[in-house]
Amino acid sequence: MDCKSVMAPIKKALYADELAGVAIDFMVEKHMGLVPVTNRDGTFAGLISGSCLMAMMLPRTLSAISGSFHNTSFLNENASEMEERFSVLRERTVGEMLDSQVQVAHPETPLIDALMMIKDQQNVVPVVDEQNVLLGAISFFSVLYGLNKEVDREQVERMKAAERRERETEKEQH
Amino acid sequence: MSGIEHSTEQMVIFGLDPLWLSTVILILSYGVLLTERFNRTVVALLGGGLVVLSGLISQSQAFAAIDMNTIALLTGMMIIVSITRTSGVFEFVAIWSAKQVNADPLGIMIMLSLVTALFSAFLDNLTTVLLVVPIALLIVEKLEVSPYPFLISQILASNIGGTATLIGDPPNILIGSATGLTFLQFITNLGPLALLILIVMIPIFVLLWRKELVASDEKRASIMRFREADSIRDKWLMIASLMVLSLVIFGFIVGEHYDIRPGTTAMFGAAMLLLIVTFNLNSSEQSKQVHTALTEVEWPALMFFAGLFIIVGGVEHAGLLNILGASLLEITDGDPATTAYATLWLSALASSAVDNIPFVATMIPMVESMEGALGGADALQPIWWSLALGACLGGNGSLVGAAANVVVSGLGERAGHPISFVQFFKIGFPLMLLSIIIANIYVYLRYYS
Repeated sequence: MDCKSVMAPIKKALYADELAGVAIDFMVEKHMGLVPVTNRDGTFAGLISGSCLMAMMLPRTLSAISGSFHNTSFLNENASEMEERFSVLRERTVGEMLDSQVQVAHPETPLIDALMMIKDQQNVVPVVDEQNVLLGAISFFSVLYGLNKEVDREQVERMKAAERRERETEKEQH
Repeated sequence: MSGIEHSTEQMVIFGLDPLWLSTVILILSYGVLLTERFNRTVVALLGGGLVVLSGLISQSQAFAAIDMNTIALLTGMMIIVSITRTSGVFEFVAIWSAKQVNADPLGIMIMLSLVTALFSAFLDNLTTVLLVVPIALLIVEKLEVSPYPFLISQILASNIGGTATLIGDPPNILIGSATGLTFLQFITNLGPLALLILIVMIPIFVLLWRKELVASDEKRASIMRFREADSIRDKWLMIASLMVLSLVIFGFIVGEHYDIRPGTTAMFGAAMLLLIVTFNLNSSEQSKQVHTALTEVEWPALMFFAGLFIIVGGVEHAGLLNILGASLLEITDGDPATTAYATLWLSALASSAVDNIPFVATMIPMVESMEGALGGADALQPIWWSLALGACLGGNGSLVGAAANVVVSGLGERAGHPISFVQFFKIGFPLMLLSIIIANIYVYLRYYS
């Protein structure tokens, strides 16, 4: 079994030169914590993750030398300080905060190799061709969909969309 | 340091002259250390290995050359500090001191310099800067002021503070261990001078950086909102570890009367603290806690010291250091005062350029060899203080002068504020020269006038 048999296609690309705000909105809308990013020519640029973004939401010193701080509650920050950093963050580009040092797979890569990468804490494995063009991605869910044919990816997508709509309606009613 | 019996019975490889061979190994090792191309622990262990393999000294002589008092003192203090720091007490003091000056950036820089100098005297300066500099960087980020005055003043203060005591800086630990000079002797001979130099430096810091260190009221308010009490993670641990730390320092002072060396005191204190923090834990949790504390020990640094002691043991055994000692006496005409000044300046300039630890490790047997010519152990004491002053204060002469400098520069770089060699040199070197001039006057007035 190889990677192409289970990989999920990329429906909407996120570009490295886009503003981080676009990526944040996309991740919130799709409930995705880890998203592959491409350059404008379609080549794979890296992964943007919730943890990358959260690191940027911290005071720079904390994210740069986090190991030096066991406890940060003494900072006693207020909402405006965090909001200020968040608005600065939205104006930066995706390329500034993505992680380009990630393992990738090819369509013919044995699936077991991708599973090893996921086991090693890389929750999304981008699948690229020989020119490094992003073709799709493999995650824990895509592996499950691939192995369990009774679970249909499209059906799950539809269920998730319905759930989102329901939440939005509830929010509006409130 | 001088645990080796001088003997010519050892078979040296290929019948080479031991003096030349040991000198080549020493120069080669120090040369490679200077390039920083290879890890310093590896270089020291390789050099030490060569000394034994080439037959300059035997394995038992090599082990005897390792100063176990120094190794035990460093290990014990590393364990105590690693446990104490998890309580958050050092962050508490740094934040509290920043708030005492109403978050005025200039005032904070002065307060943090004083805190660092004080911590450096009673902990080691590497640990001190690792604890204080991150808080300093966080404060400058909040205040939106230049981080460089803070980074540079932290380096200078840590080296000045470390000069004051037996345990403040590795050169002092080496000297104290080799000579038997006590904690009290260190603090009474070097402490007043370290304080004086700090008092001279603070106004200079103010003059240098007062224009850069201005922050708006709003930014200062963000610092005043800091809740220092929240930095304490474990009050009980804080009390226990501070008590043990105080007892250990007390032990350093009184131990001399009972022939208890600082290494024993520090290791016993570490064991006591480990017992206290694991007292209520089950067996597996105890193992985990002890393992965590021991992983915090800088084993590479201890191995570096061990290798270094063996390399120096090789040249000491071959008689090189006696020759160098005699040469220095020739230059100074055997005058104790001139020898002290020469030692002070030589060690200051050398420590600016190279790691002061190998330098002092080499100088110790050399100074010991001058004892007879200078008139005995008492006449040698000012030379020891001069060596300690030169080596510790000389560390301020350049960015590579002391390990603490390199650590601060590394922290600054990671936080996006790299310090260049020249940037530091322009401030550090003149201030180092000033501190050595003050030290020279002090040595003259106190010991020779």
